[in-house]
Amino acid sequence: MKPVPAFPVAFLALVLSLAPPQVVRLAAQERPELEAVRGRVAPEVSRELTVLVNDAARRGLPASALIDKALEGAAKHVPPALVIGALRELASTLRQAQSLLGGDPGHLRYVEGVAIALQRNAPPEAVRRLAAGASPREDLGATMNVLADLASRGVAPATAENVLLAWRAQGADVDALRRIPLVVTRLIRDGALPAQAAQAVEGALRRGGPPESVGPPAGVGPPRGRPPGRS
Amino acid sequence: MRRYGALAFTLLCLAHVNPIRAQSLATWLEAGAGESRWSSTAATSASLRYGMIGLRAEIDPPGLLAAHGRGALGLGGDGNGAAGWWNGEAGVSIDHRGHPVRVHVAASVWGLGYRQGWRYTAAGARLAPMISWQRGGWLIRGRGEVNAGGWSQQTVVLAGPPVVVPAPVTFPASELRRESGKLLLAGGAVDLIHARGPVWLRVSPAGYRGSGRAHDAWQSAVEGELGMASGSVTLSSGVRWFAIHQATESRPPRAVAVRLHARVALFDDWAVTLNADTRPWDPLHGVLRGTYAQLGVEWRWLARPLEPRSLATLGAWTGEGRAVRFRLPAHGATSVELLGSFTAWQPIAMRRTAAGWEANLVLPAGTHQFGFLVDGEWHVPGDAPGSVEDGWNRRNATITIPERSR
Repeated sequence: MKPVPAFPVAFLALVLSLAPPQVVRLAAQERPELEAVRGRVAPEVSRELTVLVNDAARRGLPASALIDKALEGAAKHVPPALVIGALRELASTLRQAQSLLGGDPGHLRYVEGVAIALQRNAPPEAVRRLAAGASPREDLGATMNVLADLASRGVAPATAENVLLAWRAQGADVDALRRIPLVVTRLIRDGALPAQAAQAVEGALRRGGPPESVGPPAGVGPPRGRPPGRS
Repeated sequence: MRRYGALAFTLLCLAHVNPIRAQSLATWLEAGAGESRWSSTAATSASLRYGMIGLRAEIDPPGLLAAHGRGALGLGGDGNGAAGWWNGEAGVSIDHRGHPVRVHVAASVWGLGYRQGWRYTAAGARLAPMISWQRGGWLIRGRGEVNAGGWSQQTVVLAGPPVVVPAPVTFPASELRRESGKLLLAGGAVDLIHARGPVWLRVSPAGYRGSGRAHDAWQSAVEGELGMASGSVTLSSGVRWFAIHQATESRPPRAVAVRLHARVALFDDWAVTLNADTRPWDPLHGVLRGTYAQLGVEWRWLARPLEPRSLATLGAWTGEGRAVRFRLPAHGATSVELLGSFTAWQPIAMRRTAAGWEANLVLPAGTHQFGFLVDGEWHVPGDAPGSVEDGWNRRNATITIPERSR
């Protein structure tokens, strides 16, 4: 491939940086994704969005998440300054998600899903380790959101990670993945501690059973009949 | 176990009936046989060998409200003749499963009866609030309980001393004595539970005050305070639990209650359980201090996963994505709209049905955020799936459509 001359690129960057915002906006709005926001967001939001979308495109990040956020802010009648703040924070989270997913280009299509999982307090180190060990066919957005589900129920990061590793070892069935937080929730509601519930599901998966193949936690379940002398 | 050693072997047959509407009803049937011994003084003791059958049902529909009921019947006897017992309970509960705070309030009515020459029955109502807070490996739980009801007893008493010479013993005329009284047990406990790896430690200072009838072979009445300090250690690995629980009555004569519980899974839904108890007196159930041990086999069948409130139910794959049914039970609303990243945050009107408001869409694979406009106001239920802060002090729900299996 013929090398790109450094001088014209630098010159173009200099011109764009000195150009008035309207010129930058006109250039950026050629991006088809931004058509969706035209007329729906405030001008200052549109300007910031343009900058962030261009930056995302340079980094290979999806612009759709940023555009969705801008539209969400407009739909909820959020003041422009707050929308801009949320957009910047989301852009930062997308970059963090990209970093945690590593260099595998096959994983980049899950950046948006992983970013949402991070917003839901999925533990970053667990995300990094799980992404590093994922097969190319695994939907990492779904995996990381189950990680976030478990974290939101009080399961410690290492324990949640072990549950997902057990799920992978069993064959990584996507329907079983969806049911894991449901079973953990049920056990917690029945009186188990979060770690206890998660370990029970992990054990069920490691034995090759479905997530539901757990017994009741200690002290829960039969026997209930009380003969005399037995309270 | 000394003088009150007991051994029971119980086989539990659990039949889990497939729920009506996906998960809301579950029933268990249990059957067993065993022996129990108990005593009020060093000089007197009683025992019962029995066979029993029990039924338990739980109705747990989506939402805060749940209901439960159970009943058991035992028949048996000892050297003094035939004996029987029964008990049952039915109630409702409200369970706000928030995180990290959970609030649970249960209300129920219950009854029980024993018959072994004498007759004893009791019935009452129970209110049991509980609040728990968890953070990291700590769970702090405060729980209370109020039981109020009454008991009645029919006893055959002797009109005079037995004649022992010559053997066999002959008894003088007897008469039937009827007694009844109030039954009250109220108290509470604070549980401090800490998990560290596979080990759970629990400390539970508790205090109860009760009055009622606790019967032994000679039908003695018991009233007074019951203060308890207890603690437990649980070792857990997957579905295996080994727990030892110790409690001591706070007032003399101090009885020490020790409970050993173990549950070892053999296969996916089969487990062997071991329970061995020494118990303090219990005016609520009309029993005195006793000891029992039980070895059991447990079978659990879960037909399908237990779904929480389902705002979005996944359907079949189509050419464009996966069908999803959104449903919000906002029965009092006049208009409900759905909007999310999959609608470019443009509201879509939902249709009113008997179950609430519904909308059917086809979504592509990916993680989507959404919410509802109920009469124009943003609304996402507190227990919505994948709840996430939207950056502006409101919350969105999240739905993940996994990629289609290749």
